[in-house]
Amino acid sequence: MRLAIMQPYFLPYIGYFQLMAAADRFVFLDDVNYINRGWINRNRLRTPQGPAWFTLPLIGASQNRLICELDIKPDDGWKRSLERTISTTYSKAPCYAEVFPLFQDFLAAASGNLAQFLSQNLQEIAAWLGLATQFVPSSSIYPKGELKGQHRILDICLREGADTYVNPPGGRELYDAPVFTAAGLELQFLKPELKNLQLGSVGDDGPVLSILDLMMYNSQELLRQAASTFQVETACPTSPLS
Amino acid sequence: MTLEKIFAEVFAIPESSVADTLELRQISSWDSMSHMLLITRIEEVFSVQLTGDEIADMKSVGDSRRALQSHAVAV
Repeated sequence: MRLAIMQPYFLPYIGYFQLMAAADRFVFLDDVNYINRGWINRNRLRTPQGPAWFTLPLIGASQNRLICELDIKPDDGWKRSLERTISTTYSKAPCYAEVFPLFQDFLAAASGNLAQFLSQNLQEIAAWLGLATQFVPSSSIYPKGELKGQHRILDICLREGADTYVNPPGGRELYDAPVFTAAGLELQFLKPELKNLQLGSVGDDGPVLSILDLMMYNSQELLRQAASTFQVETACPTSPLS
Repeated sequence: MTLEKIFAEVFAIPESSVADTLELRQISSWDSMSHMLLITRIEEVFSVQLTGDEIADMKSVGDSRRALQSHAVAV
């Protein structure tokens, strides 16, 4: 069984869903520290002036707190404001009529615990993309104790009964293939294939904007194809990558 | 789009703070997603396919620049 493990993010770019597609099971790693000014609760959309951030507001967000400890800010008008931003930005996009109601549903569900919302939201998008991946909604079911980095990942893999761990393309220097081999696991790295995708209306910022941007400009069928278009590379089992 | 702009955009840091000596580990917004985006964006902007070894060796801005130069990209 191929396992992937990654933090949950708000409407991430399509590479995240390619990682899901590369795995049989996917664990949302939500008991790790939140990252300020990162991508966990925000992403970018296109505007005539270039990419612009949109954000899911949080209460008391801090790098000293775990993702699963954070809550979404109660709606004090921010949902209406964000809805208006998306509507204004994409109202002329070809798939707006189908996708905007989905976004409104996402917004309506955005309350309470951040990690729970993101996990549910990402699973809904994965289903929309036709992915058959199974999900473990929270890594907190596997208490981490003192485990960090690749040792935590290995522990989750072993508890899940995985035989292969699929990692995003970055972070190769953090993972030691012989350690995975010794634990009976094959270590693989995703290679997103975005360059050759015939995606519609991809501007200068390409397909690295939020998945919402691609959903507005491309058919569901095309994005289903795109989510499953990637390569995986197996790390050399006998020597460290770095 | 320059390499400095890509780092600034992906990690939401001032472009002026992007120097060859800057290591990914020093960037507070560095995580799985930003690293994934960095590689995707570099490959897309400069029309290159980085190898696994090159990605593994990319620990700083300077490493990224050298990887691109090895693909004959002037950065």
